[in-house]
Amino acid sequence: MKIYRHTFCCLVTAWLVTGCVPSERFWWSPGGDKAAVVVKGQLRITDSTGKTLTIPEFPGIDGESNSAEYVEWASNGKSLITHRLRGFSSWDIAKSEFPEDEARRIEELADAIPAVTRTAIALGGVADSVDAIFGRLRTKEPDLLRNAFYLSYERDPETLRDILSGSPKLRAKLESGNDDSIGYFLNQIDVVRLETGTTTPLLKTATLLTRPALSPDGNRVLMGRRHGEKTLVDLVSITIADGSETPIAKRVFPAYAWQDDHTVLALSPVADSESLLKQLKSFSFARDHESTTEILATALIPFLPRLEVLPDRSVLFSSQTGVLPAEASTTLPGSALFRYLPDTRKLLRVPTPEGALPMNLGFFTASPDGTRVAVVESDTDAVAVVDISSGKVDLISLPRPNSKCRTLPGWRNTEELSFARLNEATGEVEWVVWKQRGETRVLSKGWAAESTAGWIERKKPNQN
Amino acid sequence: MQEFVSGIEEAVSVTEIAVSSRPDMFREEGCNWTDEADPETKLFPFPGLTWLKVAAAFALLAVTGAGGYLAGNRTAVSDLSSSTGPASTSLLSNSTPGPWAQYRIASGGIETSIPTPSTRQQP
Repeated sequence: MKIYRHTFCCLVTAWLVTGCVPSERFWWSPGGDKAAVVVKGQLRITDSTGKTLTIPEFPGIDGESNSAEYVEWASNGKSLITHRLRGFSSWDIAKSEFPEDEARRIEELADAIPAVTRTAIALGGVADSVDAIFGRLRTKEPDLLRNAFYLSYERDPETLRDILSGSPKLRAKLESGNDDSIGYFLNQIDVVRLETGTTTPLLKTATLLTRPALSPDGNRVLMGRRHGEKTLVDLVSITIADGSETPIAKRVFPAYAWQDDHTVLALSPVADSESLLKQLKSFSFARDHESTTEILATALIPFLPRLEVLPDRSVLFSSQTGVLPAEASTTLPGSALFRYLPDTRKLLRVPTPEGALPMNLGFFTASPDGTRVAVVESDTDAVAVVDISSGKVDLISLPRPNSKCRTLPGWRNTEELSFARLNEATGEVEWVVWKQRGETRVLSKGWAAESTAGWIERKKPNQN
Repeated sequence: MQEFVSGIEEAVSVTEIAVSSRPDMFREEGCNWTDEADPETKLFPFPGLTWLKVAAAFALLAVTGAGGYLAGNRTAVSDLSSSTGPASTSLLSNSTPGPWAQYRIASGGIETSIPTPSTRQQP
């Protein structure tokens, strides 16, 4: 198996969600003077004009590949928390990098892989990916199992080729070894100090992690750990000083945020992970005390759940606006943004006109002062800015034919919003910064066209 | 069948993998899935196996992958209608023309129509 450097990106999104969706690709520093940008899996730090200042070095070993997945700035703008995926092509190289207990478990599981694979195929038939095949099984350790699959294949490729005879696509991927999803993957959280150029590992694990979020005091990192259900994670908090891990919540969507140093908010399924009804919950915890859970609101969310805590401590999330029960023929109103106000425990709907927001309202980001929200959707590349108090919606980038947004916008400051935009004249995707009054500037001027090519998905000529 | 069962036995004993060929059994048995309990703690005896761990989410995940979300997933309609009944289909309707994609329930799944400059309306 070979792994090509920087050929995979956004695998976390791909593993948690079916299909391509807008995701974070750049993060502005708190002061807006720098941006952390992921270009084809590589993290670079740019200034406010898009000029590259530095490319952080991540320690690694020969033969591994790296893909930066998510970045969180410290409040002083001098350091970053990064989540990256490290890929290895052989177990001999990978083993020493995995935590000892996980490496041991992967080796144990590898012996059972032929039987497990046969069972999965007997239950659900063949599929074109290892994850899809093992998705038929209920396991607490899907990521260890996936790594064990590759170890088993490395040790005895003929047996697995035989078992996968009904899946020529997966066999071809394994034999070519150059598919993005093939190989041993390790999730790593690092602290990157820009002034000294040092990188300190905080956590290494085979378990798929989601978005690290720094606590308000900057001492802890909240993140999701996949535990088996594809769309749900368990929330844990890691103390930066000593690496100790505190469990926060089980079975929540990767939609979470700190409210204060001792309270975490998350969207959680009411029943199973596919239920449209979801709950906004707060999880409070303190040293030596049991954590407490409180349900704050119930929402109707048939799209990717997302929430943000605004500077006034209100919680921004999206939901459909139906009243239940509803008759079968009822056409419920569309989706809207809501704020939960913790002081009064009330819900406020952002008063947008009917139809002004996308039905698929899972992709939004609030300005640093919490007065406006940028909204995109996955089926067009339109970008809108919503005024939270008035509900006024400005469409700041019109949808282009055959273009779909794959990049979440990001606020540089309270006035300037950056996002991906197709330049119809050149056919290239540009990273631009928009301002309410003033010209829209291109930040990716001079970049290689392929750097941002995936930031907007273009329909291929032969696609329907 | 014997080979199939022995395959499961080996898998479960080594990896604690849980499988269910009848994931809808929970609704029939009236399990309460709205509490905070981790469904993985619910254990069911199964002939020929020590224990079989099952989870409610398996059913729909097996059908749709991570489905249920609109994000271009055309299989979502079967998920929505099967999980919450026919009323859920109307939850996707959006009859207001605008700059955004429109979704409509059709017999083959969710149809997505993308606005063109001529049909688009400013919000």
